[in-house]
Amino acid sequence: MKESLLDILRCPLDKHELELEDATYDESADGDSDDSNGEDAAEVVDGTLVCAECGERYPVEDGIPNLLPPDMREESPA
Amino acid sequence: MAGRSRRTLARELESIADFESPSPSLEQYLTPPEIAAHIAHLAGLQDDLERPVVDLGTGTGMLASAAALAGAEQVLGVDLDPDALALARENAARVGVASQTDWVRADVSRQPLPFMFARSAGSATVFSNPPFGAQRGNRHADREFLEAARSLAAVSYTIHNEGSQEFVESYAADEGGTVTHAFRAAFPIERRFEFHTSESEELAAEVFRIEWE
Repeated sequence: MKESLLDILRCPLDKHELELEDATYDESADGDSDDSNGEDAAEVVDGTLVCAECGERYPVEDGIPNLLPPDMREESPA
Repeated sequence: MAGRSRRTLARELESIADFESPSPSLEQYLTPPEIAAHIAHLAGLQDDLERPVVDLGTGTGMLASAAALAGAEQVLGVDLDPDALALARENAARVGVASQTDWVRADVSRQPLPFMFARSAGSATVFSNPPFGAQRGNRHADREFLEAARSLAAVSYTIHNEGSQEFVESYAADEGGTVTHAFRAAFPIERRFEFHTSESEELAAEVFRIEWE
């Protein structure tokens, strides 16, 4: 996920803002050099999104945030 | 980016890869490139790609990639299935729109949706080819996607099965929306699941553009 996505994402329980913790970035930026939106394109490959209100935590899995509510989330993959 | 013809868009979208092992219960199949190109092209003409575009139930990422190819600068593909999202991301990179697209795993049928689009920026445009609810137990799937569109979008484009016009128009009217465009599109579906009876059937799909209050 691009870091700029944080502006849009909200907690699925209470719709409050999410904060990114323990982020790992992809320094290499992906292969297509076709486009040049350089500024907000920092790619987060791993990390946790934490609700600023209720503290619920949502994993970023292989670069894709998992915003399923906790009751729908499967436990960490085998 | 803007100004691609429908035909050019459709041709570029032909390289979008289909599911390797589609899920029947999620009604996973490839949205035809021609329909995606038609929607994205119309959205460009209507200035709907100037807002962030959200593709609900993105699947292969076909509509999300189409939106980006047609000029949208920020596109978000949403799906329940992490394998679909990984495929959608690969597909977007293949057609050269990795930097305009992003992907989130979420359940479109659950409110509240985990997104917020600033009204000041004109909210969002929703694209969606939802499950048609063709399967038992899944009957109102497209209604849930319409509800999600209404809650997020200033304008939505949704694909439904044939005969949905009355339902879509009355849903929109009840929720303060107006159907501004409606068109039919042929929808060839290869035999994929056991409940499909012939090798290749053609469904007629209906596409609606709705302006929400």
